[in-house]
Amino acid sequence: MESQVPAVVAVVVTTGTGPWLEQTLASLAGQNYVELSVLVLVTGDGPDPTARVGRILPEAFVRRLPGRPGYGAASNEALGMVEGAAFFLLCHDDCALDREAVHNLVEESFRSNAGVVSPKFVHWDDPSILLHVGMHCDKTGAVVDRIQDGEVDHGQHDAVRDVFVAPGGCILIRADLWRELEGFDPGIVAMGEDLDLSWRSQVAGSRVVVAPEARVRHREAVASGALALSVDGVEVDGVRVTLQGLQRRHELRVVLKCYSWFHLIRVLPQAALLALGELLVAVLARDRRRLRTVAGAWWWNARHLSELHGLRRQVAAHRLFPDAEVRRLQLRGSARLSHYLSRLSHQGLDAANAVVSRGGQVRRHEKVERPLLTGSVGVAFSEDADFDELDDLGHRSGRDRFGHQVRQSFLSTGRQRVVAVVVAALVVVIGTRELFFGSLPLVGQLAPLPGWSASWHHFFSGWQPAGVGTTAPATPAFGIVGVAGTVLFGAMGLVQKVLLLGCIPLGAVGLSRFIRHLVSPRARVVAVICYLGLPLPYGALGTGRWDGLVAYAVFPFIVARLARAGGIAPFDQVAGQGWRSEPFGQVVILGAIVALGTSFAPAVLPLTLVCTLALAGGGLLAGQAKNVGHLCTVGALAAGAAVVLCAPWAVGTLLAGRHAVEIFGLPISTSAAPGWGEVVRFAIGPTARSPIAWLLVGGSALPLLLGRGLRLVWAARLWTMACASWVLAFAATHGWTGAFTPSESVVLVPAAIAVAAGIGLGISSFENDLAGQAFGWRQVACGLALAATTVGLLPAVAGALGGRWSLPSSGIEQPLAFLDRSGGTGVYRTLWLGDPRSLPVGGWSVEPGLAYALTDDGLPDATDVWTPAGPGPAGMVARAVQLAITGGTVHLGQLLAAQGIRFVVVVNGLSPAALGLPASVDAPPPAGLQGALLDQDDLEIRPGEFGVQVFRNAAVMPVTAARTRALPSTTALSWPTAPDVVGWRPVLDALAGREAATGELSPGTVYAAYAPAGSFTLTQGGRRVTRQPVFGWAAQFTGTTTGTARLSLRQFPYVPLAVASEVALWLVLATALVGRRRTRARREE
Amino acid sequence: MSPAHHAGGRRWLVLVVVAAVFVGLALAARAPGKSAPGGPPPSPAALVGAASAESSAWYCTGQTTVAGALAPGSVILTNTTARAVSGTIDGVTDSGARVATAVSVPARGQTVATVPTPASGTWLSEVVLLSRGGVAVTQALRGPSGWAEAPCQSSTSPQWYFPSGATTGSDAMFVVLFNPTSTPDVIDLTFATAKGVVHPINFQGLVLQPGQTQVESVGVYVQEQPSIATTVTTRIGRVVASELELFSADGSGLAIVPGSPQPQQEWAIPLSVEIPGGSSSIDVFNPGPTAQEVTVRTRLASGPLSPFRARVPPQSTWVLSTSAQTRIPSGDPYGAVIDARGGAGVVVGRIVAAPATALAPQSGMTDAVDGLSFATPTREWLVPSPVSASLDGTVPDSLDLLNLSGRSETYAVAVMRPTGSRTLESGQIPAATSLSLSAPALARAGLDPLLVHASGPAAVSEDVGPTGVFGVVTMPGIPLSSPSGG
Repeated sequence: MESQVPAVVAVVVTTGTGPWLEQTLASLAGQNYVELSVLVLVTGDGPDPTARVGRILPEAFVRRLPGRPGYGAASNEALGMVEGAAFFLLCHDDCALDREAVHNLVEESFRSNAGVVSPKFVHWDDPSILLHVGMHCDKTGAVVDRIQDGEVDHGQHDAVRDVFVAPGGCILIRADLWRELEGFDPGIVAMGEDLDLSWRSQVAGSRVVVAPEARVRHREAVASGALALSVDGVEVDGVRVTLQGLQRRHELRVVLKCYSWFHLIRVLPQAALLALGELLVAVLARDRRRLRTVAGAWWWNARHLSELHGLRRQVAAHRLFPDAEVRRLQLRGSARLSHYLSRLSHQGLDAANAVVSRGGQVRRHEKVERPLLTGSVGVAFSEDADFDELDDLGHRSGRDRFGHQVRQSFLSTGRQRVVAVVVAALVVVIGTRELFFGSLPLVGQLAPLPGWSASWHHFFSGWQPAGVGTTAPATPAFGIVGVAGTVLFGAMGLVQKVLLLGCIPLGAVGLSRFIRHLVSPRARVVAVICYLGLPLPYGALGTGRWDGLVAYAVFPFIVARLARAGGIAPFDQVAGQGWRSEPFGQVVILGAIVALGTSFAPAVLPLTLVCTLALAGGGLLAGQAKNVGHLCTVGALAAGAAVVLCAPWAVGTLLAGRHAVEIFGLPISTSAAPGWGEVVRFAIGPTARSPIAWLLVGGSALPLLLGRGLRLVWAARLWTMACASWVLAFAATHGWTGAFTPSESVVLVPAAIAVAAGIGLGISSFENDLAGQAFGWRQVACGLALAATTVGLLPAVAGALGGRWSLPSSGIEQPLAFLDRSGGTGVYRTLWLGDPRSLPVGGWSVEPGLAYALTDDGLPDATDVWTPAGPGPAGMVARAVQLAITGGTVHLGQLLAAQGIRFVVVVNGLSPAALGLPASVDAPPPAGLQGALLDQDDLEIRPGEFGVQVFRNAAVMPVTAARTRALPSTTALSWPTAPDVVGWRPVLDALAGREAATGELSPGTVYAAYAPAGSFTLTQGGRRVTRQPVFGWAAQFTGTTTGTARLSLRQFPYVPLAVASEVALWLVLATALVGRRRTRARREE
Repeated sequence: MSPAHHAGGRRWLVLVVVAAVFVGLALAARAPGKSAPGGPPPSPAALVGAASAESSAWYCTGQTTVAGALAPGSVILTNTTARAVSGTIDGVTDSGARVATAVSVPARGQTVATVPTPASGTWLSEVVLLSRGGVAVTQALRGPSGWAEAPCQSSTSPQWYFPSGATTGSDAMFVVLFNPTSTPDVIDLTFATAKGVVHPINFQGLVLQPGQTQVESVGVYVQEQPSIATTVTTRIGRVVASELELFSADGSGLAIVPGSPQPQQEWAIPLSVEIPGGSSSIDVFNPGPTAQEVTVRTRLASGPLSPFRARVPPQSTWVLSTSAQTRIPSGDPYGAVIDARGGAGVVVGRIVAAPATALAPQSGMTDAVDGLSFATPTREWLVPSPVSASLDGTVPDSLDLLNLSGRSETYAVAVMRPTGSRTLESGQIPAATSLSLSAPALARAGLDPLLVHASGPAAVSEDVGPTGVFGVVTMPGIPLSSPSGG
């Protein structure tokens, strides 16, 4: 009987080395399709497989091709060898087709009028596991599988569907289409030829469908690494060129050749942007392989641009479908980005960056992750609980497979959670949008950073100009700023914004890492959103507080590390790697985090101890005494480690005596202290002050009511921490903690963590602890808590509308602009007075609510913000101001003359542009201060300044001055008398930030208001001028002659050496942390 | 079962602790803070600076420059410390002429400064700059209308209040303004009369340059008013102001009133006596924006009288004519305490007039003792001697104390001499009662300054004679900000 079925030629390309060829041929031989011919194309110089073919399929044609062309190029040879076939079945040599596979494929081709038909691929060894049921791709060519990794075949995908990519193991293609397309792209040697063929088929107007009734077992020998890729010109060594690298370069090649110009112009920049983002992630994750892969793809295509012109022309020649139609079949958005964010949301940063945890012992809770740098990103949605609800394009239909409407549980899917996080991030970005550009106002601690070299100099310098000068070492914050400035090529404005604004997302990441061990992914996302939705960071930003923002960023990490190092369940189950997982390593790492935070916000150090005690106390309160002692020990040791890592600065601080505690914060006036309601709801800034924020606090109480087991224990811990934080903040702002008055923006951070984590625990309790409970108050409480949490976020959302979190648009730089251009001759200082929260510089306390600081001429910078703990001889200024306030002098100008104070600036509040703020935010100076200054007969006010009061000292002496008559030499601290301050003329230039001050002198006496006086030497013509102490702290040099003089610091470089040791310690630690990981990664490669 | 499974039993313990913390915070929020609001504490118009002060200043205003003019006067410096204090007196006239002189005050002594006659100008204001604290500066005026004395002011202020004043008949009232600071002042004068509040256009926006003094005759713009309360307010800057009243309508008299820098809720008049044929009144001025409930409690030696109460509208004065009150018997000494509720406070003054037949001066005006003065932490007050070269014959008539603590307090009155202080009298004062040391008792002190010490808050003033009647010329006790003798 004459056959009525179209002829099919199966083209099997083999190198003859694979052991699966026989099974492939046997499956072809066993087909029930009568018009099936087999053409075996042999490539490479391996053993001749003709005999093997003959044993299984004697009627098969065997052709040996020269060289080692790729699979596509080899298959294309069939075009010239076969005539009269209606279909080609393009097969790998590691496929085994079910008996009716060809029949089903051909049948479906006719039924669906499809040009390309793909079978259902199942696992070679276990046919119940699906491999592919067709594939999709997004606009950038990233291929996405339709199934989950390891998904069992229950027939759930057994419907014929349009797909975008027919996987390459076995493809049935109409012969005319294949001829029209001129076969595979020979430039794609492996990985991606199926994408290219499928894409071009659709451009040519053909459907690509999957026919699941046709089942094929596929070994995927090359992709799985079981068989090396053997192609001329390509050496896949796993390091320089990987299969993933080939996939990425070919995906990009397909994009470049298959889009029309219009769409290419649209898509290519997006692809480039995504690639840049991926590169950035790779750099941050120290993932060299990913870096090489992504960059290599673009570089390879750039080198092959000349080929693309012809290929594009070829695609255009047979285009029937416009790109708009093709795009309709692709996934929306970026599959690769979705995949990354999904993993980031579900498994954390390491997993998202494909950093594999291979070292050490894998513990019970540890999920072994494998790098996901393959062409397929099919697991992007693998955690979707309702994956089946996705249609072929990954869109949600809203109905299940039975057509029933699906009610989605809130944040139950990875996509929903990613969307929620992205929305929260968008709110933060929108709320911060006006701060991204331009310079920040001189408000709070937002003084501009010094240049990168100046930062380094300040960090290593043995002398700082703070006050009237000190040899106390600078905070390590200057080292960090110096590093950041160097890395960013001196763009210090950018450094400031990156460090400052980056604290908010960093804090969110920290909280996410902290809570991931406690709650479900859904609860984790809600907790992170709540942490972002609390007014605290925006209050700190709106008032220009570095310390509050840094504390917001680091404390979640500190709390997480405390729990882990302290061995508190379930953190005791978290695995680590190498020495870092040892007790010593955990303490060192925690100490390093504390040290980093303390550098910018010194109150982080004592607050770490408070958190330690609170976590221990909370555990005891809940009946969990296990590891309490260990936790306390770890907290204390970590604090000690932090002190060691900041040793020079710490020693300098301790040497400040009773002033040392002022490093944590200066006391504020009780009249301008925040109320307890403001403290508890974190309303310490100008934005998001609505009482609605109470609802967040209320919502976080849910786990205390519902929680069971560890959730209740952790709720107790968190609430103890919150209570400790609130009580300390309230006590410190109301003067009940003596001289220890840390800033409330720092102290409240643990409470913020507790509230956010408490909300997450509440949701976790809702998920776990209500099971089996009859409907009652618990369910009502859950509903109320969830509603309260949602509404409680509104103040932050409303606060975002302004675009700058109510940070004033301008600070005191406007009314005080004259300080920068006061010019003239001589070096002078400026005395700043005001509430500690409104002073744009760091300083010391005169009395609660009144702080003072001395700066050099001009507007202050960050070197004036992070000042040493003690004022040193500048303390005389505080005494003088106190005297003026109490009516003890009417000659304040004269008393301030010795310090070279030309201007006294009283800062009226947070900013001249900030109007109508409550006193606890505006932070006005003490009432009557202005009157006390106006009563001074030698202070002249500069009228017309808005937001500040500026007094000019009529009795000023320049910082370096000369006159003929010498001052009386005194070693005891004293103030100048009226005759002491007259007759001086300025000499020498400024010393701050330089090695020496120089200038021309005439015979007489030179006065130098720099401390410590004993460390300074004045030389003239190589001769040291005689030095005498004056006023107990300054120096005068008598017997000067005409000529150039040089005033310089002469002392043993204790500080630079100590700081160098500190830097070395940090380098050793960094090397141990980073170097170890790199070594391990290299070994794994 | 892990310990965590037992935690459910602790749920209530945790909830109780959390609730306790919240309740504790709420209660703590109601308690006053431990650290007082920063900045200088409010101080009365005249306060003797701490002996340890690096320097101090006093401002005297209201004197005329030449003998025979309205109110020529002198400056008296009283040193409460054990060390001599030197200083300078810089005078400036309303024409801008300046004079200066050095001055030195011996330890625990008094000095009447001699200021050179300025080249031009009618009115003279002086800044007394001293090298230390512990010195009180007063001024004594003597003109054709009579004589008066009062403390100078130890601080500037952005506002000053004067509760009393009159422009009826030939009575003349002057407001003396002096800007001793380095900041220009822009000043407004407002007058509250029985007919309402007056803002004379010529007294608005007065500009006083640094170091300038200016005197405004109020009668020209606020005519024929028997009770005028004055408010001096600066738009910018701080000023020193005083009020000079010349009585000539119903008996002659001269009064220099330094004014009050802020309203207060408690005032006191240590001792007063109504005499037949004379008149006296207590003027209670409410400068605030809201009405206040004012109570005047008077107490005779025999016991308290029924209090006088009034609701004083904003920007108005309640004139309580004590001489017209039948419940206050003539000739019986009484003390009075005035308190105000419902606002920022009031300012209280007093006008006393003797019968026309009495010894000159017959009329006088002064402020009551303000709450800041009698609540001074040191509980020590200086009463400078009235002695002055230009005031021969003046003697202290009585020293009066009013115990304001609500319980019995101890007191001691000492005379301050270069060799040290000697107690004149000491003892107990029952709660809310007045004590008076009469002229014979004070005679033992001669013309040396007195130091009064009490164990609680007390109002102190000295009646100085000879005048027509008790209260025409009084010198309030000037509080010390640090104990004397340092």
